[in-house]
Parts: sequence; structure tokens; C-alpha cells
Amino acid sequence: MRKLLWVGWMCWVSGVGAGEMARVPAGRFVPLANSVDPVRVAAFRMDRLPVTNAEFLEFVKANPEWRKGAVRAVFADEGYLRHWAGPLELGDAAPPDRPVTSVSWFAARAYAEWRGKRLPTVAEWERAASLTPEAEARARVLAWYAEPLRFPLPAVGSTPANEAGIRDLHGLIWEWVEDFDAISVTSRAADGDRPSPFFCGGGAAGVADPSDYAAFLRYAFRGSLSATHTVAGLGFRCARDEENTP
Amino acid sequence: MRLRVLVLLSGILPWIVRGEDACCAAPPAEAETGSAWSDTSLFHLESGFVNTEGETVRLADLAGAPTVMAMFYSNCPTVCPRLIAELRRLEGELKDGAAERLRVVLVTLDAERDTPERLRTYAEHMRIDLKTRRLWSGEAKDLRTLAALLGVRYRKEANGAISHSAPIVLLDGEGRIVARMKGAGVDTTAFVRTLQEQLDPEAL
Repeated sequence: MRKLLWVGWMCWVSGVGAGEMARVPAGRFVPLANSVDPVRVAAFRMDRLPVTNAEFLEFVKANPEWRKGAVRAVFADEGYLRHWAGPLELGDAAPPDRPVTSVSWFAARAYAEWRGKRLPTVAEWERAASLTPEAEARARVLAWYAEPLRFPLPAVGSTPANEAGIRDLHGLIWEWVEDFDAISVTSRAADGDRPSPFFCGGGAAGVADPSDYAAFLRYAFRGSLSATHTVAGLGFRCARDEENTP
Repeated sequence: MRLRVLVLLSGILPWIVRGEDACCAAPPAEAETGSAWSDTSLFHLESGFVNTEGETVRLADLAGAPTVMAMFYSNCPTVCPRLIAELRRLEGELKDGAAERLRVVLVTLDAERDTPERLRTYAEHMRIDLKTRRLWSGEAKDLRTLAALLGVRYRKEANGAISHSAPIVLLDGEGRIVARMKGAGVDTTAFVRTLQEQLDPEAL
């Protein structure tokens, strides 16, 4: 069934010629903290799908320093591509059409740069994610967050497209963003490494929309990461500025 | 140029002299990929930065001697002046002429506004001696990479300010982080001890 979906999706992409990136129209993003003003997000392009194992394999073929076993400890922890069979071999645990995970932020950025793209910012990612019908998204997202991930993960493209034609923002994997660590800084906490108000019990009162518990979870998760971390359910997709897109 | 050659030489010499006796440091990993730096060395970062002379510089240019690093931005009203004051305080705690051997690199978080010229003006304003202190700028993406390596968390606010944490990080001559402080107003004892050891001529 999943294979059928994948094949169907690929046919749709080539048939319609929609391209691998979708346009996300300009809009506003309301950060979780009430103390922060809404951020204007310019229109940008975002990959319709997360990066797959097959795509990441192309990258490491061309960039030996990012192969499993060769990557520097300063750029990725020891779990890097742990589900791959070898430096240039995906194996049974990492089928080609599944999202690549267990990659560090440094690796995700290197991949994006190699493709002539970049990672989306938190604001861009959340803006794109907000283009999913709200009630549906919340129900699905919370159900997904409540379930432990099963491996191998489903193929990319296995969740419905949102209004911009982007899939898998919810319900498949967690995703790296360019400024994943920005959220744990607040103006008040800026002169130390004090924890942000998001993480203490009373923190929920500072959330822009307390019913958006899923967004809250994403922020807490991003805030817990370091750039070298690799996590089995954490992958990424790329973005690009609007003006650079042909 | 001559200076850079000297810096490079001073990086290689200790390796030759110390040989097997290298004390506390983990052995440099792998000769296979041709790099002498250990796996945890920040010198693997290839990104180029720009110094106040407008020249391209890399972290690996700092090889051979310890360096204190921190990130700041010149428009910063509160945290950064305190950070710079804290660096002066650290310098004051060093003994036996170690302060003269102290090298400090401050890297901006503000790629848009902090040009080399702007940083030169800032140095003058803050009375930062550019003979021993270096102020670097660079492209936004490279500054974010460096921030991730140094553990600096930051966010640009809508009003142009940059909220940021202000850790002070000590790199040894091989680019490994050997000490870090959370910023101004914390206990400096352990950091100063490591810094003093690193700057001890016998350790170099």
C-alpha cells in the first residue's frame, strides 16, 4: 500500500510537473511566546517531501567526508546514519524511499548547500505547517506525537498534502530547521544560559495559543537538541528563497 | 603573510617536539584523510570569515596556540559590553606574563551590519587593541555554524536586536574546546586555571 502511494505520488509529480518544491505564500508566524511579536515570513520555496535515504546516499557518494564512519565527531555524534548498512549501503533498515534520519544539523545543512538550497527557518517551517487545516492537523499531529515511531518509517509522501502541496510536515518525522536552537533564548535570559520560560511548569501561560500543544512539543524538542545530535526520528527537508527560484 | 607562516610553524613545532609525550590531549585521529586534527577539533570547519583588514580567515589559522573565543555584535546594548569587560577581567587574573600571550577572537552574530569597517570603529570605541584581539565577521550561514560549534544560542528579534547567550570558549592549539564559561558574572576559577595552563610556555 505504501509502495503504491509512493509510486502514485511520483507519477503525480512527473505528470503535473509541479516540481520538487512548493511555493509558500508570505504570511505571519506567531511565535509561542507572547512576549515576542509576530514575525513576517516572506514567500519562499519548500521541498514538497522530506529528504530520502536514496537522496542522501547521492550526497554522501559525492561528499566522502559525510559518509557513515568518516564524519567528524565535531559535526555529528556516534549515532550518525545508524540505520544504514554501511557508508554507501542503505540496507533493509533504510529503504530508499524512506526519510533519512539520524543526521546531525551540520549534515543536513551540508546536504542543503550541496543542492543549492538551505534549511527552512523555524518561522518558515511553522508557517508552512500552518497551511494544514487546523483541526485535522491537530488531531493527526497529536495522535502521531503520542505514538512511538515504528521503524522502518513509512515512505515519504505518505501523509496528505497541505494547502501548499507540501506533505509529511506532520505525522512522519521531526525536522531540523536552520535556527533550531534560537527558541531557548529570550530577551530576558539572553545574558546567561538560563532555561527559557517554555520549559517550566508555568511556561504554558506564555504560549501564544495554549491549545496548540503540538507546536509546544516541537519547540520543546528543538530546544533539547544540539547541532551534533542524531535522532532516529529526526530528518529534514530543504527550502530556498523565492527570488532564487527559476 | 610572514606572520601566518610563523603561526603555522608554531603549530607544527610542538607536534615534532612533544612526539609521544603529548600529555592530556587525545591522540590526533586518522592519517587517512590527511588531516592532523583530532575528530573533535573545530579546525575541521572550512568556512571562511573576514577579519578587520578585510582578509579571509579560517579557524585553522588559529592553530598552534590557545585562543579565547566569544560571539557578540556591535549594536548590542547590554550583554556584549559586559562580555568584553569579563574578558578584561579574565586577562587580569592571569599570572607570569600569560596575559601577553593571550589571543582573543570575537566573532559577530550580525552579518548584515558588522562589516570589517564597522568592527574597526567598534574596536576603537571599546578600546580593543586589534594587535592582540581579533574581530571577525562573515556570512550569516557561517556565523550560525560557528555559533552552533561554540554553543552560542541566538535569535534575531523583529526590532533588529539579537538575543543571545554569551559563553566564553577556550580552544587549545589544536582546535579542541578545553574550557567554557557561561558568560559574565559566573565563577571563573576553573576557566582561568585551564587558560593559565594553556598559556604556560612549557605547555606550548
